[in-house]
Amino acid sequence: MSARLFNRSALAVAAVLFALPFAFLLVVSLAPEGRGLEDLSAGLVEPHPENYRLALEKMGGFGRLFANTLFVTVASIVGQCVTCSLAGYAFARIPFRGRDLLFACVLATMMLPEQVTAIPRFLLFREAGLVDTFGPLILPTVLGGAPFFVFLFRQYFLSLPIELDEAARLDGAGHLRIYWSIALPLARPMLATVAIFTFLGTWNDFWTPLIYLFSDENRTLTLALAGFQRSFNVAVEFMLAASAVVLAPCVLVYFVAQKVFLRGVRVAASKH
Amino acid sequence: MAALDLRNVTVRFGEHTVLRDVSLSVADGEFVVLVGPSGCGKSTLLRVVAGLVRPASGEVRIGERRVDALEPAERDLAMVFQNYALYPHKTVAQNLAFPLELRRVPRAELERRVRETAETLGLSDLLERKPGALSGGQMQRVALGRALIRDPKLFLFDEPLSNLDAKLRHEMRAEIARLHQRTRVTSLYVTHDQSEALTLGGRIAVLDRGRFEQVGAPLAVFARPATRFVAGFIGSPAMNLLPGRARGGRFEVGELSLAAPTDATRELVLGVRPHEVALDAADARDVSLELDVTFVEALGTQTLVSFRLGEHELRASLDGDARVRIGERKRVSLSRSSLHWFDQGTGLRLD
Repeated sequence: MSARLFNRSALAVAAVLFALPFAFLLVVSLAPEGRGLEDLSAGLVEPHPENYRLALEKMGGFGRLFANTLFVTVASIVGQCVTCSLAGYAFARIPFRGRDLLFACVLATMMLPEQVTAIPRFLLFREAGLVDTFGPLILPTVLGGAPFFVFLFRQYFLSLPIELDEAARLDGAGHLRIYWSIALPLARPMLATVAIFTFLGTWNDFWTPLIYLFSDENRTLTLALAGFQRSFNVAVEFMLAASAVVLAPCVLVYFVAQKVFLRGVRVAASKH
Repeated sequence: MAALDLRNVTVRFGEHTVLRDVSLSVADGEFVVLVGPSGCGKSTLLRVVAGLVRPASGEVRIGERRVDALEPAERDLAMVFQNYALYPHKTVAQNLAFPLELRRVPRAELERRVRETAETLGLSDLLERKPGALSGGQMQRVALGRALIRDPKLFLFDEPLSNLDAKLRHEMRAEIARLHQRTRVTSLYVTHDQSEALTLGGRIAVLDRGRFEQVGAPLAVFARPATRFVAGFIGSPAMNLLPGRARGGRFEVGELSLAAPTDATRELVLGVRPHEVALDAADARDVSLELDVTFVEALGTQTLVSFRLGEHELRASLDGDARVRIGERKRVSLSRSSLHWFDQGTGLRLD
């Protein structure tokens, strides 16, 4: 009983610690211009919801920013789901020479920090003439640039009974057919997990757009938000209001899909 | 329909040889059961026929065609798996239809065949259900249906009944036998259950450690096991196998002494089926002696009694109403005509 009580209190403390910045963000974003940081109660006593409208106006072209971000995010999700599940299927089910070595290499790339590959990757995309397009943001996902997701899919496909594949082979299905008709429909929970991870990662990504996108019409939400910080004439209240708007889809998705999210973590943790 | 011919098939998994130079001919329309303990290679043999395992050497023929280089789908056979291997996200109807879809069977014919197959197996009311909503017996029926619907040349069964409870197992056993009666499709059936083998097989093939020990009609194998292994494996309760030494025309094990089948000095194994051991019924054809009862199992229809014989145990299967108690001393007799003799070294039958 006391152990449970301890767990509960520890969790409560952690929850408060994590929730505090969110509460701070919301309270300050509602405060009258220039007063949010001086008096934390200002936003509660006299809320200014119009801060949100004004903030989005100051950001400039919110619709365009939102559309850009959404496009990159959706394209990444589709790319990630298709290529990582294909690669995971191959690693799980198609025997070929050097497979395990290749898989070890895929896993090893997880240990490379993104910053290490950033410069060669940039040079590559510059050669290809893709700088200041969405290409560098989307192409890596389409090319299976997420070893962790390849790993997730492989683990999941390994957990499916091999007899399903064998039955399908006897029924006359080839690998592509088995992948499409049997493995992929059964991997729906994994697809959801990968979609959500990718959504959160891409939506919040600041680093990659910062490196590759220069023109105003290509900017994403995170870039625009950073632009706020650099301009001295924007009050902190507006900045936080804009942040809250940018953040909202992520929080929403996380709450809706919490179970799926945790399942992904469990699958990754449980096998090997 | 077609005959199946396996010639000198050897399978290795790494260093481990799973099947050694195995040959088997199954006639067109025959039902052959492969039986053996787990790890004897029987499932591997089935997989070789299916094309799921490539043999290191040897030939597989179905009909006149050599198939060892063909993909499973090109061999025109169907397999029923122990864990059913139904596609969990597809309904019963979609499971049945899948092999036909892959063969691009026209929609109308496909629907007709799904309907017919479902009727044959009593699945008509379940067509829209998913496998998760079916009982074990129903799932196995669907698996049978998925095999049946393609009208294949050859049926392969990989322990299809071992996940079912005893009652259902009996029902499905009868169903499979009926199905074979009706379709007459050449069938190869794998099981570790010797009673399943005896009741289902037109012929049974007993496997141990990657080799055939004996192939033959069930009752012939039961009556004249070719090796010590078959003697111990086929028949329930298992045959008593008593190792001893023959010398000067007599064979001795514990208190038991009887005429040996040979005058040479030789290590032999005497085999006696428990139902050939009787109480108090000695006549001239019998060997009889007094032994202590060490254990009694009353099973209702029969009573299994264990006697101490030297350092060995002799089990007898007696009538259900036999009154025997542990610690009693009883006169036991064995009919001479019911004895089996095996060589201790090679395990082979003597006569």
